[in-house]
Parts: sequence; structure tokens; C-alpha cells
Amino acid sequence: MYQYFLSLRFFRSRFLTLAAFLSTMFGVAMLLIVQSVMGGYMAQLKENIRGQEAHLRIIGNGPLGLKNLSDVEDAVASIAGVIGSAPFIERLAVYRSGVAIKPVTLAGIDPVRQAKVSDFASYLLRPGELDELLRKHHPEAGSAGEDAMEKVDMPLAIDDVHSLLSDQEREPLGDEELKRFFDLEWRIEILKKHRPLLVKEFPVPPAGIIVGIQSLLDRQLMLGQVLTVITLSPDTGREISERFLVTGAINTGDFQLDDSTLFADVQKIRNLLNRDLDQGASPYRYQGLRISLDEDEVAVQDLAALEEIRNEVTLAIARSGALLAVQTWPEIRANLLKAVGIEKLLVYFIVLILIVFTGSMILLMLTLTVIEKTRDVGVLMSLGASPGGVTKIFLFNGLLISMLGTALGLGLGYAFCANINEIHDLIYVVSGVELFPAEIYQMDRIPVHFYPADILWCTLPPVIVGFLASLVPATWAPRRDPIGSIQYE
Amino acid sequence: MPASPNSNEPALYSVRDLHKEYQMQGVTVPVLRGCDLEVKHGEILSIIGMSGVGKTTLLNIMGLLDNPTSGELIYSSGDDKELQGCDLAGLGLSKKCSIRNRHFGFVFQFYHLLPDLTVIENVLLPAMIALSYGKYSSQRSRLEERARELLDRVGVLDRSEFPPSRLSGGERQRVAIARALMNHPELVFCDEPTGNLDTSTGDRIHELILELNRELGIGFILVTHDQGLARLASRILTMRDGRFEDQ
Repeated sequence: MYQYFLSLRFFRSRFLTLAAFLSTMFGVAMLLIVQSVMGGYMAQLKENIRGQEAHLRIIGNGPLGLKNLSDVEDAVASIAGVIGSAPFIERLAVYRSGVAIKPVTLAGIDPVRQAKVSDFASYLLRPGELDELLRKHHPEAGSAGEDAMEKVDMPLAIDDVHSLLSDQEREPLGDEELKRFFDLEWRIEILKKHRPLLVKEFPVPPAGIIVGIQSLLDRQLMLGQVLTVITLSPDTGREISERFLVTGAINTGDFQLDDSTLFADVQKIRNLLNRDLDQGASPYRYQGLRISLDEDEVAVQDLAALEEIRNEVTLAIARSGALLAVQTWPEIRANLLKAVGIEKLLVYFIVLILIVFTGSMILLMLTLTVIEKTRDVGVLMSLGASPGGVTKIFLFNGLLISMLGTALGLGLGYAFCANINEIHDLIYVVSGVELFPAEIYQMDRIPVHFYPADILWCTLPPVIVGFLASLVPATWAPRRDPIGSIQYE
Repeated sequence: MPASPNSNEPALYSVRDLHKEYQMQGVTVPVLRGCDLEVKHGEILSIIGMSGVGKTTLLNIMGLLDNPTSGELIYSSGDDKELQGCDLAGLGLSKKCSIRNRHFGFVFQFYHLLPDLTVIENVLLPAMIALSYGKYSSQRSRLEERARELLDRVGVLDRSEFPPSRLSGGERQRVAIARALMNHPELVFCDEPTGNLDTSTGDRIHELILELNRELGIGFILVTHDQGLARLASRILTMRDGRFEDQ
């Protein structure tokens, strides 16, 4: 009884106790913040990859891509758990806009089928939404002209895009809306609206292309702009150049991907690549097929389940005679995921040093308490307290600091994480410093995710360290002749 | 006058041929050189002598705060059959702690109240040490009532919620006496209980000890230089060179 009572009294009455308690609290909060942000980054990265890439990807071996697309599609469609597929082509390209030349991936997609295998339809902005965003963040556009353009406040603009797309009530784009980006009528309308001077030059506007929203917001590109895209022929390696018209905008949440990808109609890209064929050469086909799985039937987060279905797909398409490679979604950017995983672990161990430091604070604090309370310990022992009982007082004291510090640290960390983007924006508004630039972290918002295991790994070390740090002074307390200290004053 | 112990009654505490030696820088320093002593139930015994003759050492060994080099400490508790004629010197650490808690009380020259606790909490400490959390909680109101009674008995009830730092020396010693009595001890060891008090305050402590002895029948062993206090005792023993003068 007296052990708990005196522990609480010693806890209450010392400044050093408060210091040790606060250091534990902030250490744990930092550990949780780092783990949750890194965990969120990892989860968001996975979500982005899965959202952009579908669950499986079949890649055609050889320079001309995927043979027998329809056979492969049929073979795959017969597998239980497969709910959709979409052909794609991805080519390295550069585009020229004015004097700037920028390397990009020219992604050929079938927008309707792509929307069935990934979150493509949720990432696209409707023309009305796009107009409103551009009006809000380019208020002077169209009135004062390009000379008067001010620098756009990108974090705030991105914040608006994020709020718009993350709205739970927002419906993904329908099939007709998706098709519209590459429609001739829409291209004519875009050109008339945004570049009326070019209407004469392009009575039939170039093929439509969808670009990252950031490029439009920071005015690297404009809606209705005509871009010249250059890629290489898969057959001859010669340069192929084509003009495209910017007709829409996308935000996948992966800044780098959005910034370096141009989405166009897959048939258009296919025709483009086959434009420069040598006589008698086989035309380029599709690069591959994206496949989506029924998430109710297949545990798509489970690597073993993915591996199983990959084997089924491989077997099915092998029967169709095609020589193909099948990738699961985590493999598509395996190195990045692995690197982030290692980084998360590394940061965890670095912050753990802080926890060891808080342990040394507890050790120091309790050692000083033991020295200061030697006479009190002597009195307690004269009143019948056993050495074990005295040890428990200080052990409980240390554990109380570490457990209470950990609990409040978890609360503080959680509160910080829950408002991390608001805190980030506040720092940006006050100081102008952007702590999480989208172009570096490939994400427009700071992602946070609390894994139960992470919370456990934030809770156990400080409590264990607190216990071990308390053990030394606690066992020392009854051994340093406390009774002697009351006998010979 | 102190309570008169019955001369035919067996001794509560017998010390036989007690020796204590300390090793100081490789040299053996004898402090107690064969002390024999008997204390009856309800007796006030004063031990006087010059500084350094071993009075406090004897008190600490009898109070089980220190171990003898040799000798016997035979204790015959009135209400504990296990402790009938038991040699306390040979007991284990936890048993000694338990005896200190349940059978003995201590009053020190410098009071030694815990500064982080209020007066009443200091008095309750021996009960907290004796009881588990559950038992203490269930008996809490009764124990607090007893602590208040004791504080009332020693005359500091109105200070019960004060921290010890706000009490005078005499008041602190009264609280220390109340704390020593909390677990109904049979014997209270007082080491210079008035050594740090002025004469009139010391006199009031003398009276209090005498009253408690008469009313509650508690035995006191007083180690003191204070002739006034020593004269309260039913017996006065003088120590010289580590043993009693008449031995």
C-alpha cells in the first residue's frame, strides 16, 4: 500500500520528475508522429500504386508488346476473382512547350476500361471543377494577361484540390464523362474557349491529352495548349513527333507521377507508334494489360494471396501461348516500397535514441530522488518497510513516469497527427516555409496512418526503458545504509 | 510515576551477552562488550551514559535496526505465540521488518517525519506498511479515526492536515510519538527524544511519555542525556565502555 502512496507523493513533489515525465511524453509523441507519418506515407504510396496501377499487370515480352491481346483477355477473364482488364501503352517521351523541353511518360489508356481497373475515374477533375479551381487560383487570368501573373500559392491550391477529390460525396466520373476528354467536339470546345486564336490553325484540333493538375495550377501548361510530344518508334528507333491538345487534368496524389505523365487515348498512341514502320515490319501492339481483382474475393494486401492469383494468371496465359511477365501491384514499385520501409525502420531507431535519453532522465531523476530521500527511506525501514518494499516505491515511481508519459505522449502524438496538415499550413501561412513540398515527397498532403503494431512499438520501448532505468536506483535505495542515515545525524 | 511492572512476570525483552564490533580501516572497534538487560512489560527504562559508550548502538540492535556481533535478543510478546522466547537476532530480514512494524515503535531525536506527507499521513504510515492495499482501503476510516485519536492524545489534532514543516519542534516530536504508537507497539525505543527541544517543551514530552505509559501500558526504553527524562524511568541504567556499570 505505502509503495504506491509514497510513489505518488514523490512524483508530485519534484520538478525533476516533471522534467523526466515531459521528456518521456515528447519522446513518445515524436516516435508516434514519425511512425504514423512514415506509415501513412507507405500506405499512401501503396494506395497510389494500387490506385494507378490495378492489382496485376501483364507485360508483353519483346519490343512489339503484347501478342494476342484478345486471347490473353479471354484467358484472364476466366479466372475467378478477376473483374476487369485494361490495355495500356507507356512510352518515354519529351514534350516541348515554348522553349521548355520536359521528359515525360506518354501513357496510352482506354479511359473507360482504365477506370474499371484503377481509381482513374476518381482522380480526374470534371471540366466545371477544373474551371472553378483555375478561376480561384488564377484570378487575373484572362483579364490582366500573362504579364500580370503572380506566383500561385501552390500549397493552398493543392489543399483545395485535395479537399475536392477527397470529398466522400463526390462521384467518380462516369463513362461518358471519361470518353469526353478525347472527343473531337470537346477538343473543339476547349480550343474555342481557351485558345480562340488557334481555332483557325487547327480546324481539327490535335488529340486530347490529360495532364497533372499541378502543371495547370503553376502555369507550366494551360488548358487548350497545344503540345508537341516526341517519342521514338519501337520499330525503327526514329523520332516520332505529334501534337496534342491539353483537355483535362488529373490528380493521383502522387505529385511526381502527375507531373511526368501525359495520358492519351491508347488507340491514338498505338497509331502514332505504328506511323513510322519500315516496310513489312509488324505493327506495334499493346504494351500490356492491367487486371483488377475482386477485393471481396482476393486479399489484395496479402502478398501470398497475390502470389497465388499471379500463378493462376501466368498459367492461364501460358496456355494461350503468349510469353508474358505478370507483376503484382507491390512489385511494380518494389524498390521504392522497400526503400520507404527501410527508411521507416531507420527513423524509428533514430527516434528510439531519444527514448533511451528519456530513460537516462528517469535514471538521473530517480538517482537524485534516492539520494535526497535516503533519510526518509531509513525512517520507513525503521517503521518496518522491507528493502523490497523500498525498491518498489522507486520502481513504481519510474514506471509511473514512463507509463503516464507514454500514455500522454500517445495522446499528444495522435492529436498532432490528426491535425498535421493544418499545422503544416499554419506554419506555411506564418513563415512561408513549406515543410512537406509536394514535388519532393510526391504527395500533396502529409499522410498519416496508425498501424496497431506501430502503436505497440511506440508504447513498449519507453515503458521497458523506464522500467530498466528505474531498476538501478530502485534496488540501490535500500542498500545505501538508509538506517545509518537516521542513526548518526 | 511510571506504571509498576510486575516483578514476577517474565521479561518482555531479554538481552544476553550482547557484543557489537565495527571494522574501521581494518581495525576492530568493540562498541558493546557483553550487555545483559531485561525489560518487563510496561516498564520505562532509561539508559544514560557518556557519548560514544554504545547507548544508541544498543538501542538500534534491540530495535532490530542493526545486527549484533554476538549475543541473544530474547523476545516474549504477550500477544504473539510465535514470538514466545524467540531469539530475534537469528530471524530473517522480512520477519525483523514485521516485528519492527507490529511490536516496536521508534522516536528519534530529529523526529524524522516525512516532509512529503501531512501530519496525519505520517501517523498512518506504520499502518500502511503493515497492511495490503485492499486491507488498508477497507479499514481506512477506522485507521484514520485511530490516527486522529492519537494526535488528539498527544495534543496536535488541530495540525493533522499540516505538513511537518509548519510544526514546531515539540509538535513534531509529539507527531513522531503518535506515529510510534499507531500499530499498538509493546515497546517504544526513544533515542534522545528531548535532545533537540528546549527545557519546557522537553518537560511536556516527559509528561506525555509518562501518561502514555500509565494509560496504555506501553514500555519505553529511553536513551538520553537528559537527567529529568531519565528520572521518569522505573529503572535507570548507566553505560560505560560498552556495558552497564553494575555488570
